Formats: sequence, structure tokens, C-alpha cells
Amino acid sequence: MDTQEENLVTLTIDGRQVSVPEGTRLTDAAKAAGIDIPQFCSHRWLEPLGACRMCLVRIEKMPKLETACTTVVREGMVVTTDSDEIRAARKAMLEFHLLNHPLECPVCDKGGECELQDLTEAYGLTKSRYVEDKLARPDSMLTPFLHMNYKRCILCKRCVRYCEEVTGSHLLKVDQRGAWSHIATYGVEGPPDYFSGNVIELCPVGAITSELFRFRGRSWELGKTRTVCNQCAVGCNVELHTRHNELLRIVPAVHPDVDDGHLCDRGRFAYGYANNLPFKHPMTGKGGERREISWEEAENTAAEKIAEVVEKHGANALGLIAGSGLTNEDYVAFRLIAHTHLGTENFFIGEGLIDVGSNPLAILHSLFFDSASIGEILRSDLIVSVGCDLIEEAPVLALRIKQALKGSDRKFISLCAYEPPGYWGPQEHYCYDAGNFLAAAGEIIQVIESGNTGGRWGGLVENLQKARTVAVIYGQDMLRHRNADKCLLALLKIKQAAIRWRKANGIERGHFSLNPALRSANATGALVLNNLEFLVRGQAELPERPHATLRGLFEKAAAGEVKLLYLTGVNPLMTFVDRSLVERAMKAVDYLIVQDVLTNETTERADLLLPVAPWPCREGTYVNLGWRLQRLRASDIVTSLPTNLEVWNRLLIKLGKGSHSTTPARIFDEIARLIPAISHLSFDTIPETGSLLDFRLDEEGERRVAEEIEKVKLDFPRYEPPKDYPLVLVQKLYLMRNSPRMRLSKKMDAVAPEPLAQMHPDDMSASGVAEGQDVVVESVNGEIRLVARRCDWVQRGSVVVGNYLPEAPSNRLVSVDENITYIRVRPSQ
Amino acid sequence: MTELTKVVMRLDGVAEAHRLDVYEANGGYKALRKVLGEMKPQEVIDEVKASGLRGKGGAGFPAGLKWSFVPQDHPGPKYLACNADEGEPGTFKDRWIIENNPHQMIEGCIICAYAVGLSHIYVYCRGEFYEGKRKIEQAAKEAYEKGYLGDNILGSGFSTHLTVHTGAGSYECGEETALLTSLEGGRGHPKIKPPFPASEGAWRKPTVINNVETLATVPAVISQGARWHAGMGTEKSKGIKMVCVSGHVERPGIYEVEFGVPISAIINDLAGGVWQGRQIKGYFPGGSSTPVLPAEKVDVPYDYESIAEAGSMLGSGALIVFDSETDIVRMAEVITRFYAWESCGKCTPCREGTRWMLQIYERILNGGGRMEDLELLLSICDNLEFKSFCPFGDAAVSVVRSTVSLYRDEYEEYIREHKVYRRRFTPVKH
Ligand SMILES: Cc1cc2nc3c(=O)[nH]c(=O)nc-3n(C[C@H](O)[C@H](O)[C@H](O)COP(=O)(O)O)c2cc1C
Ligand code: SF4
Ligand code: SF4
Ligand code: FES
Repeated sequence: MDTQEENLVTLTIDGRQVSVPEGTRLTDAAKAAGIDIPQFCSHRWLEPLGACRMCLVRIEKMPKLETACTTVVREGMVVTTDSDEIRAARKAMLEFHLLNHPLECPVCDKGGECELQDLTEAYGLTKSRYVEDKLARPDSMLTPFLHMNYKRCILCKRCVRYCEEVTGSHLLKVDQRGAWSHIATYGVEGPPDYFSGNVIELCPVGAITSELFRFRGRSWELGKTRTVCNQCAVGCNVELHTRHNELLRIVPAVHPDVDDGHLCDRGRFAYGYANNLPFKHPMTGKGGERREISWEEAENTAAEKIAEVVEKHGANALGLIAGSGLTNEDYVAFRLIAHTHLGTENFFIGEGLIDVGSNPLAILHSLFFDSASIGEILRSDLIVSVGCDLIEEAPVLALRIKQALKGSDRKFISLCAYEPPGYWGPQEHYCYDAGNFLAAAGEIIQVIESGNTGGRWGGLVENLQKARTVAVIYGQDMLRHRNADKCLLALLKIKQAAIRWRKANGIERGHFSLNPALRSANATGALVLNNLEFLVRGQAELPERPHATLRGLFEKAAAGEVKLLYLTGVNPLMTFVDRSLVERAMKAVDYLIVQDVLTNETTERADLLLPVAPWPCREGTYVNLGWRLQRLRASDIVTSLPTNLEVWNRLLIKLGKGSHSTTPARIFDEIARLIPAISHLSFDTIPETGSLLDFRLDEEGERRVAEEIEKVKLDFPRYEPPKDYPLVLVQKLYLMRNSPRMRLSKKMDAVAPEPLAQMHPDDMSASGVAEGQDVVVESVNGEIRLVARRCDWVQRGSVVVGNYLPEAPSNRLVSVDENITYIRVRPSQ
Repeated sequence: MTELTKVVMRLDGVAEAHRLDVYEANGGYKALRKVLGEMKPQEVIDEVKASGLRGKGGAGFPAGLKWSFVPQDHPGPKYLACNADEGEPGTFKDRWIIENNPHQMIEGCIICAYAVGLSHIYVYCRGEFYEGKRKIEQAAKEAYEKGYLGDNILGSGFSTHLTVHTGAGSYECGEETALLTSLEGGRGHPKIKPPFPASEGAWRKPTVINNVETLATVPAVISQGARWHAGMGTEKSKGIKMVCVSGHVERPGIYEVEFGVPISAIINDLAGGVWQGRQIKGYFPGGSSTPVLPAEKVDVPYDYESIAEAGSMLGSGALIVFDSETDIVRMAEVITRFYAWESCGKCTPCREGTRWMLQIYERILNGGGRMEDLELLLSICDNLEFKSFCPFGDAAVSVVRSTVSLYRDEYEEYIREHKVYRRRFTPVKH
């Protein structure tokens, strides 16, 4: 914890004495004294502006009324916030605000949660002295999601300032002057703004409203449920607003240590799928023969198939996979069913990017014990994103880092195969050659040890040596790599080298944390529960028994050892690194059961499809990338679809293997007993803000792990491309990737990334392709078709491709047997 | 007979005075040489302080005092912003200076930069001053060539540079902090004070902001001494002022006089009196932003204190005279339109209030006035004045409040008789 010595200033507000830290604004000082000063233009995220003049107060010895929001407290200041004079002034300001404001509260979405409405009522403004014509600029769309009603705008500029001061996107501006001033966009294609939706709540009136929610419901009629966003591993807290069994909107629920009230546009707007579910009943048969069947029939079929396979080939012929967006309770049940009830060792939970088995202690150390909470990351002196474009992979964390940099000496740097592009980005970029993270790690360690800070890694190393606390966040470019486990070990060795150097130089050190930015909402929980055996070593309830890796599982299926694949909430055709392996596996198995919510490449191939309830109807817990356990709460939407737990329980009964709880609370409480980090919790006592899982080691533990890491022998090979495939494939995750949730949600196609082969200009000419040209990208494993785009942030020798393009899946190019994917690009005929 | 005291205008009538050789032949840049050769920076500030020179841009703030606010221990860079935005209706003196005697302003800028330790001079020039801008640029080029600007000026070791920046046509950008925002490349909106520009100005660096006329007076103060300057004018308003006389006078123009002469003398002796032999009805002593004074107050001495005592302000020195035939309501409407259109739109009372007042004026001029409109106008003035973000709001109400109070009968006549203003005019844009 950083405790800062703060000087206090004492002042008197409305006769009450308050002491607040130096530099506090009068509005905040008043709040501390329990006094509310009305404000339109001020907002805690924004620099003070002093535009709306609602916060006028009287300060002794000042000739006129002053705006509290722009005034910094001074010792001995005497302030009056309520008097006839002040009330009259505020009433006058309200009158000005209302001049051009239409009287349409009854049809305005903001009604009931509008700051202007509230204050107008509070100040009893019932009659208008304004008899002239109001300004009436017709509405327009600022973006596909933001509907602008100019008449309602009070020009507080919160929206503009948000895009300037907070996100830096410069999406909005003010056009024209005086009363004719109005909000506008720049009208030029800029970098995408992933946070535009936040101006909806920021707008104190109903000027900017959500196109998706407009006219769909009054705020006071909505059912409201606090839960956790399921679109990425940041785990922003959200509120689901529902009515008539429909999810009408998602708004932030404000968690200070997670989102601070910001949401990304994916989390906010990509919810339409929940009202547009493609499957209402189980289905069987492929292609044109697919037909709906009853649950009874589906359960019987599944049970029969499973029993048959077990009988003929043994339990290990069952392959079960659970994706990384399920709840922890799902995972616990899944493990028990797979392991205890069905008795197969071929099960897997999660994304399967890191093979923990190769060196469990070291890798788990980094995954569990080395982690930091989001708050700790934000307070670190140095934040390093490794192999990661954080705004795409953990958007709200990226935004909060940007905010944490403001007015501090904190630094945010990137070590990646490309320079993460855009306005929000890191302050310094260090690039390793695409695919050659290991070689770079070897060099970096050498530089640290030599103490000589010149050359390619000098700046990076100096940063690592100088900073007292370091937070590393590593992402897709490191994880989506055959050698991800080795890369992680290499990262650990970099850490140890830096710590050793500091010790040798007598420099105090603080926490040096490592957090993975995994792709899915509960990928962290999946990692924990996939590797539960290592965590609860020796406990009778969960016998230590090795189970398959994801790759191993697919290989066994492809080799005909696994006969039945049962996939829950996972679409490996898109998410597994090697598409052809998945295809071979799916072809080879006798039977494919898929349990999921939305149509995707994998559900298309299912012999039996078991639809389950979507996220807004789920209860349970998630763990976010900052190791915070948070509760998912089901909204009041009544669904006819079962939950994962309910399906599995029915199956067990049909199989005659007993039964299992379908209540997440029961499961959580059971598992809590086993995991020390949550043993103090029960489902019902998880605080609203969740609970940080603290796996941190004591000094002795750290020393032991450090020794262990020292012992790991690691090569730092450098891979060179073959002549005929001279380029390296870099797969990048895009926030707005066209995943099933996006495809089935309204308006989201407007922001989907284009299928681009992003290239360095030199490689474009060497490959004979031009900007905007249709190209074929091919490796020895396969080819995809993309459009060439010249990008100055891409390194020579590499091609950056979105890793979730349904029309051009990049995993078609990749083989799990190769260390690096070499490709070439040619114009398509 | 009232005499002119030509200081800034001393080269009025000299051919090609804007050229460096002509300026030098008339003693130009001697003050700069004196300062660089003989005076320490602090001595220059002290001299300007002692001279009593006050800012000529509107507020009349003592120039030397403003210079002394810049922190000396600040590592820099520090800037001078020379305010050549001259937008106040009725004011046209800065334009004369930059077109006819630009070197005197530049010399003043360099002396100021030396005294305060400013490494860059930005001349913020009104966008419509096409000729003036070129004249300053030309003069700056000559000054660079001659070594008056740039590195190591005249071998003194002191360096400063000059850049001309043009506005895009906004009155508010003459307000000092809006000027800085505009200079930085932003929308011309004023900034929160404190911090004051002297400690955190352009790009958050210490910045001195002075009007063109203020700076153009500085070389004379240095050459002829503080005592000479302080010896002119009145006790508190020392020195001279360029008065821009316009409106219904025989000889509109700029007249540079000592402070303290009666305003009637300026109008009658210098500007040839009210035109066409008519009577004066009233006048703006300091531009459209200052309250109108009635004919009875035409003998007020021309200095800050006397005009303030009479209920108005000396402002930027724009004396606008209107005769007995003037339609007061229409005049107030024209000026109110100016403020409605020029309001930067940052703060609510000014943005909304100025347009509201304009709409009321238009309604009255269209024959649709109501008696209660007069109280309404005064009430809007109350709600605008001292509650807006910057002094623009206060300026915008001056004409309304003063004319409703002084010439209420004319307003009432319009309303009572549903009089319609005889020319068609553009209604407020919607
Ligand atoms: C709305 C408004 C417009 C102004 N316009 C000008 C201007 O055009 N030129 C100017 O010199 N000062 C203008 N001022 C005054 C400046 O804010 C500032 O006081 C002045 O430039 C300081 O210089 P001085 O001390 O030399 O007078 C304006 C002030 C306001 C409130
Ligand atoms: S749109 Fe809303 S947030 Fe933006 S300026 Fe208008 S009222 Fe303020
Ligand atoms: S008073 Fe307000 S709106 Fe008017 S010019 Fe100043 S800041 Fe802009
Ligand atoms: S809140 Fe203070 S001026 Fe708007």
C-alpha cells in the first residue's frame, strides 16, 4: 500500500468545520461535510470546467458568487452554500438551462434518472418566462449506438471531455458558437472508440441515448440485477435492466477496484443475442436432417451414447471439454462428473493455452502466487504489457491504466511482436521479432545481468530495474503460442533476474506481479479449477489424478482413442490454436454432443445439441484477471432452457450414476471448504464487490519458488523462417471480433473488424501486394483470404491477423506441431 | 483647444513608417539598445512600474505589476502573448499600430521579454487583419535580419523569438485565457483562474499577456523615462491613451491624448463635434461592453476613475457617440446581437442569456413587445452579470441595462404603440 502524507486544510462550510486534503475542490469538501452542491458539468472523471454555473456559492471576502467546482479549498475559508441569494442564482441558472430544453420528459429515456429533471423539481421551477422560439436542431446519430437529441443538450461538455480527457478518442467535439453550439463528431474516420457508450450515463440529461434502448422502457419500470459482464476477463460489474422477459440494456454497476464505472462498448451493447436465442429445444441430426426433439429424448439419447461408449471402449473413450465462460460452480460439477461419476481422465476446462503439466510448480506459481489485483496493477510504478494489445484484450483495464498514468510518474510500456496501435497506447514500445519471444527473453536476461543498458533492450531493462513495483500483464501473443508454457517460464526468469540485480545493487523492491489477460470472462476460474489437483494436493475429496491437456484430448480423439466428445460452452473450431486438429478429431469421433447457447461453427457439427440458458439467467461465480471472485446473478428473465448444472444432473440420473446439486450456492460452499483462499466465504456471504483471492506466498515460499525457477533449464532458441514462407503469422485478438454473441446482437456488425492482413510496407512490396488488395495468406497447413492493409505498427517480417474471423479463421494456418507459423502472402486471382 | 499627445502615434503622417529604416531613422530601437546595454531586467520592470503605465486592452491593470508576477525561478520556457485580437466594437487603435507602426510594438515586446525573461513572443492577431498580419510579419523579418530578434540579440546574450498567430474570427478570443486556449490550438474557450497566466499560461508555462497599445507605449517609457510618463495624465490614470472616436461625429478617428481631458473636448475639439449639427444623446465611453452614459455626463474627464464614478468604464478606449435621432432600441438590439453571436458558448448564463435577450429585442422591434419585457430584460441582466464564467457576460448586459434605465421611454413607446422597426432585419437563427 502506498500511504501518502497528506496535508489537511480546514474550512467552514455552512457553519460546519471540515478538514480535507490540500487541493480538494470545494464541491468535494462540501460532500465530505454532508452538503450537496448541485452540479451539471462536473464529474469525478473529468477536470473541472465551470460551465454550468449551478454550483455557485458565497465565499467570504470574494466580491461575487464563485463556482464551487472550480475552487480549491484554502485554510480558513468560510463558505455559504445555501441562502436566498444562492438559491435565486441557482434557480436562474436552471432557467437558462431550460430555455431551449424541450418539455418532453414523458417521452425521454432519461426520465427518472435525469439530473436536470431532479434539480428542476428540487428548485420548484414550474413556470417558464421564456416565450420565444426554442432552437430545434433535428436529431442525428453520433455513432451506430449513440442517438443525439440536440434539443435536450445542456452543453455541459461532459461527453466531449470524456472523449478528450479520459479515453483520448476525440470522438466528439463542439461545433459552432454561443447558443448555436452543438455536439458533433469530427466526421473523419478515426481509430475506433471502444468506450463511446459511457457518455450515455455521463450525459446528465437525455441528449445522448442508447440507440438500442431508446423508447424501450422507463427507468423505474425496469427489473435491475447486479451481475458481472461475461465478455472478457476484466469482469466489469454491470446491471441488467429487464422488462417483460427481455434484457433491455446493460449499465455499469461501478466497482471501484474493477471498472470504476466504465464499460467497453462490447460489454454494454452486445447483449441483443439474449433476446434472440437461436435454439429453444434440443436438436439432433446434422445439416438438413436436423430436427428439434424433446428434452426427454435428448437426455435418453445422450445417456445411451455415453453408456455405449463406456461399455465398448472404457470410460477414457469419453472426452469432455468445458469452455472458459462457465461459472466456477459449473467447473466443479464438471470435474466431479467427468472424474468421479464417469471416470474418464480425458476432460479439460478452459482455453488450454498453457500446458501446466510441463512444469507445474513454476507455472502455477506465476498464475496464482505472482498475481496482482486490478487495484495493485494500477498502483504499480511500472506496468508492462507483454505480447498484448491491452485495449483489445482487457479494454477497461487499459482505460484505467491510462487514467492511472495521469499526473503520476507511473509508466506503461509494451513488449510485443508489434506496437499496439492507437491513441490510448503505451508510452514506450519494445518489439521482439514475431514468434521469437524466447530468443528475446534470453537477450533481455543477459542485458539485465550484464548491467549494461544500451541496445535494443536497454530501455526496457532500465525500466525494470528502476521501478519499485512492477505489474506485468501478458496476453494473446504470448499465450497463443505452442511454447506458451516456456514463454511464461522465460518471463519468470526475467523477473528473477531483475530481482537479483536489484538485490545485488541494494535497491529496495516491491511486488513484481504477473497476470495473464486471458480471453474469456472466467478463464481465470477455469485455470484454477482445471488445475485443482495441484491446489488441493493431498485432500481426499479431490484425488490427485492427472487428466488430459486440451491438445492431448484432441489428439486422442483424432487417433480414435476418444470416441465421444462432449463440449460445453466451447467452440474449438475458432478458439483452439490448430483448426485442422479439431476438425480431424470431430471427424474421427463417433458422436459429438455440444451444449451451448448460440449457433457457432461447433454447434453446426453436433450430433446432439443441448441448448442452455444464456448468461443473464445464470447464477454462480467468476474470477476476473485481477483474481477477484465475483458473483453472477440471474436476472428476472424466465427461461425455459436449463442451466449447465441442470442438464448434467439429468444426465447423471439417466445414466444411473446418482445425482448432483443444481444449486450453485451448494456447490460453492462445498468447494470453499477445500480452497484456502476462499475458505472464509460462503456463497451468500460473498460481498457485493466480490472477494480478492489471495494466493500470495510468504517470503519463505517465494524463496523456494525462486529456487525452483532457477533450476528450470530453459533454452532460448531463435527460429528463422524457411525461404518459401518468409513471414511470421501474428494472431491478434480484437475486442469487436465477430463472435456468435456479436453476430446475434443488433448493430454490432457496424463495428466488427475487417478481415485484414496487416503488413509492413516492405513486406507488401516483397510479396507483390498492394494496399486494399485481396490476398491469400498461406502456410503449409492451409490458407485464408484477407485484404492487405499497410500498417506502420507492424514489424517487418510479420503479418498481423485477427484471430477470430469466421470467414477467414487464422487457426487454419497453424499446426500444434510447429513452434512458429510461417506464412506467405500473395495476391488472390 | 485640446492638444494631441502623440506617443504611440508619433510617426502618424510619416511616410512608410512601418519600415525598419524609417522607424530607426526616427529613433526606433534606441530604447531596446538602452535596455540591453544599460539596464538589468529588474530595473526595466521597476521603470515601467514607476511610470504608472496601465494596460490598454480594457482592464487597465498596471503593466509593470503584471510583469513582476511571473516567477523568476521558473525554469521556463516563458512566453509573451501580445494581444492583437482587437474585437471590441468601436476599437480600431491596435489595427492602426500594427499597420502603421509595427516596429514600435515589436520593440515593446522585446523589451518586455528581456525584462521578464520570456523566450518567445506570440502575437495573437485578429483573423480579419490581413494587412496588419503581413505588416507584423514583415517587420519581424526585418527585426530578425537586423538582430533585434532571435538568438543573442545585439550581442547581449539575450534571446527571444516572435511568431504571429492568427485567430479565426472570434471576439471572445481577445479575452486573455481564451486567447491562450486558441493559441494552443483549442476551441476559444476561457480557462479557469487561478492559476493565473503569469504562473500557468500558454501550455501551462508562465505567460505575460499585454495589449498592443500597452506594449507599443513601452519604448517611449524607456526612452523618455518613467518620470516623463508619470507626469502626464491624472493621479491614478497616468500617461496617454489612444481614443477611438466613432459614431455620429464629424471626424471619426483615433486621437491620442493625455488622461484627464474632458470627454466633451475630445468629441468637440478633436472629432469635430456631433455630426450634422445635431445634439448628442449619449455615448459609450469604452466600447460596446461599457454602459452607456447620457448626454449630461459628457464633460466627465477621460480617465479610469472619473468614468467609473460616472457609472461606466474606460475599457479599450472606444468612444462611440450617438446623436439625438438614434433609435436606442434598435441600437441595443444590434449590440446584443453581437454578443449573442460572439458568446463562446462555454457557460450557460451567457450562452443562453445573450440569445434570449436578442430574441426579446427582436420581438419588441417587430411590434410584439410587452411591458413586462423590460423587467424581464433587467432580470436577465441580473442573472447574467457576475455569474458567467468570464467578463464577456458582464459586458453583454451593459448596453441592455444602461439603455433600459436611461431611455426607458423609448422602449415603452415601441411596446405601447406596437411600433415596428422600419427596416427588415434577420431574425435570430434557429
Ligand atoms: C470578452 C473580452 C474580449 C477582450 N478582447 C480584447 C482584445 O481584443 N484585445 C485586448 O487587448 N484585450 C482584450 N480583452 C482584455 C484581455 O482579457 C486582457 O485583459 C488584456 O489583453 C490584457 O492586456 P493589457 O493589460 O495590456 O490591457 C478582452 C477581454 C474580454 C473579457
Ligand atoms: S450531450 Fe449530454 S453530456 Fe454532452 S454536452 Fe450535451 S448534455 Fe452534456
Ligand atoms: S461568459 Fe461564458 S459563454 Fe460567455 S464568453 Fe465567457 S465563458 Fe463564453
Ligand atoms: S458544476 Fe460547477 S460550474 Fe458546472
